[in-house]
Amino acid sequence: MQQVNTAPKKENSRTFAGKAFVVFLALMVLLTLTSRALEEMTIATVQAIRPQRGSLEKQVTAEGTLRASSLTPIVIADEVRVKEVTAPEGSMVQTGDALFVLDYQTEAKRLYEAYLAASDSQVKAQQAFTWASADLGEDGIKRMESRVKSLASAAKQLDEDLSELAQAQQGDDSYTIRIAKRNAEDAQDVYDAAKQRIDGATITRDYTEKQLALQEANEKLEQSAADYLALLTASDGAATNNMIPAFAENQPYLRTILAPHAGTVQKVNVTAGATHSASQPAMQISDSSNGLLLDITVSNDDAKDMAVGESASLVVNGQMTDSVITSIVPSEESPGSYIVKFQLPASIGDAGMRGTMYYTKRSQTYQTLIPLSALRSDEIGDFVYIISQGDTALGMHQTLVRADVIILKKDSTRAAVQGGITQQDQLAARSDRSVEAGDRVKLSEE
Amino acid sequence: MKKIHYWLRAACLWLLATVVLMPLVMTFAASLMQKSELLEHIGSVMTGGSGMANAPLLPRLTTLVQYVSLLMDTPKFLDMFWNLMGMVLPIVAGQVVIGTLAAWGFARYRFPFRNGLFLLYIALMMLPFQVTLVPNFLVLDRLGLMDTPWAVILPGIFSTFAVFLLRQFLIAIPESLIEAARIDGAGELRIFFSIGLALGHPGIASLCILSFLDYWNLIEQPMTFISSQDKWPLSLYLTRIGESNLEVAMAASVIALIAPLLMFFYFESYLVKGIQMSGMKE
Repeated sequence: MQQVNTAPKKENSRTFAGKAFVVFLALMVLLTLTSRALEEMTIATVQAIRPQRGSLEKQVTAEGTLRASSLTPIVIADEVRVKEVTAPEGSMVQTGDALFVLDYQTEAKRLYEAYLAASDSQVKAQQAFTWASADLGEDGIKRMESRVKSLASAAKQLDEDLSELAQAQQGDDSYTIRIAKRNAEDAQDVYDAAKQRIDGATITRDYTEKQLALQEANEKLEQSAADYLALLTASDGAATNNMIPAFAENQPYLRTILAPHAGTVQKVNVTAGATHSASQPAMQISDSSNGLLLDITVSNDDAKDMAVGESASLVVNGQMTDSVITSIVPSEESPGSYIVKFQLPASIGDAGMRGTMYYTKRSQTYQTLIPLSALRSDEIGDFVYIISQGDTALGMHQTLVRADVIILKKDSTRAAVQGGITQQDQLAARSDRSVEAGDRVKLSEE
Repeated sequence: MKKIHYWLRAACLWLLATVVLMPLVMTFAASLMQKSELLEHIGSVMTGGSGMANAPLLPRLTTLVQYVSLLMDTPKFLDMFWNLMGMVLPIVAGQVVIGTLAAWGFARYRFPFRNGLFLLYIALMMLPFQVTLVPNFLVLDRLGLMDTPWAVILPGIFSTFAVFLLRQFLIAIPESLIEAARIDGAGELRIFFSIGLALGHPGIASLCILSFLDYWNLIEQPMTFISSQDKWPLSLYLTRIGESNLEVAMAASVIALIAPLLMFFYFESYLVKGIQMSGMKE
């Protein structure tokens, strides 16, 4: 029987088995590294938290600017050019500080020219009247004056009779009406006759016109002089009765408007170089003498928990003080927000300073409080992810299960909810990537 | 007549081999099946139903999804594999070192109570794990080794089986050979390393494979002494096959089979010799 030597064959298979074992181990190392890397990339790490029982503490911290409780408008009735604005918006001024400077040069020139024109008209009217008087002579003047007096008397009588007629027509007495009507007709006839006498004399009519023109010229001259003098008085230029054209003599036509009291310039409606409109106040200066106001803008959510009469801590000028909310009004500047107002004494600081409000309010006790980081929402509503622990052959597996909740109340960090969770549930809070219901997750070490 | 006997014997052996190999083939085939198909075949058994399990040798639709899932998506499985490696390899190495020295002492030196002590070793070897569970637990707890891999490794290293097996190999070395070495001026260490280890290496090899196979299937020790799941070895995972992870467990079984199979092929000849020697009488 032939003996077969199997030793080399066995040795080969042994070598192959040894190499295969090494390759197998190397492959397992590679797969371990790969699967760990894949897990790091695909499985989210979440922070697990448990719901707690307790109360919410509403904390609102916001800043605002102090302002005076009243504003003083600086009104300038003239429409005049503004030369310079010395107190810009937001600046603080003391009593007597310059606010802005008005330039009356153009206005003065216009008024003085009007005065000169009126003066010239007056001279001409005076001359024409003198000539008309000369043409008429002394007798003529007396005659004309008599006629004028007659005309005035007739006109007066006519007015009286017409008035009586109007009264009589309101009554039922036809006789009285007839008498009044006749009287009025008679007075009309007298008036017409007197007027005819004046109109019929050309020289007399000319004299009368000249007299009236002279009166008008005098009135205009007086008005121009008054306006010009008023302007000089209003400006810093010295007022004079001699009607000196001050602008021509290089006298100042500037008027500096001064602050009536200390405060902050809240609003400036004038611009250097532009003409001030008299329809609105040139400036508004805060008046701190009646105290200060602190306006703090808060969100709608924050405002819901706050109420007038509640106290809040305020820090102004480095000092903390408690103050009461005086009003809560919707903000006009940012719709959806509210302005919480505080009334403060003037001694606390100055208008324009910043103030910080610290408002704290504790809510009722809730059974289920969760951090906001665990609260999620989509188009269906608010929900949380419960971490479901699955005990598999490979150890504990964590998967996310959605539980819809209703938010009862929330503050800046936590929310009180009710729904399908209990205090024993573990909820997924922060995660290092976006997660969905059914996702496998890892729990963070913290 | 001789030919008939030959074929009859061959048929019997093939039948036996088929019966022995069938679970292996079934496991491999099941690891390639889809979950639905797998549940269809053996689901009733897994769920405790009243049906019969059947095991087709070929899947209707082959899939490697469970392998990918296990090897790419489940680092915990691979962690368990390395946990097991991290226990088995130190145990085997420790047994070789400790067992060789102790066995050499029992085999070559005469000292009081030597036979009694060795009898005690054999007696300890015979005791099932459950008997020594409580003392082991107390000692490990006192040493602060509970829930650490050392709770499995240290008792494994000092296993009495290694001493027993290696003693059988080392005692077979002729005394005359050792005497000759002594006459030639070799010291005790030289004799141990140059004669003991050199001639006893088949025993060491067979210890390696037997010990590797034994500890690769560790269940009771880690289950008792290690409570953290992240320190569990792969052998514990295989005991927890359930309906929900049936297909993955089949794939895991196949993967878990590879290492001992390769080790077996590597140490095959020594294994046979070791089993023969461990059955020898002194």
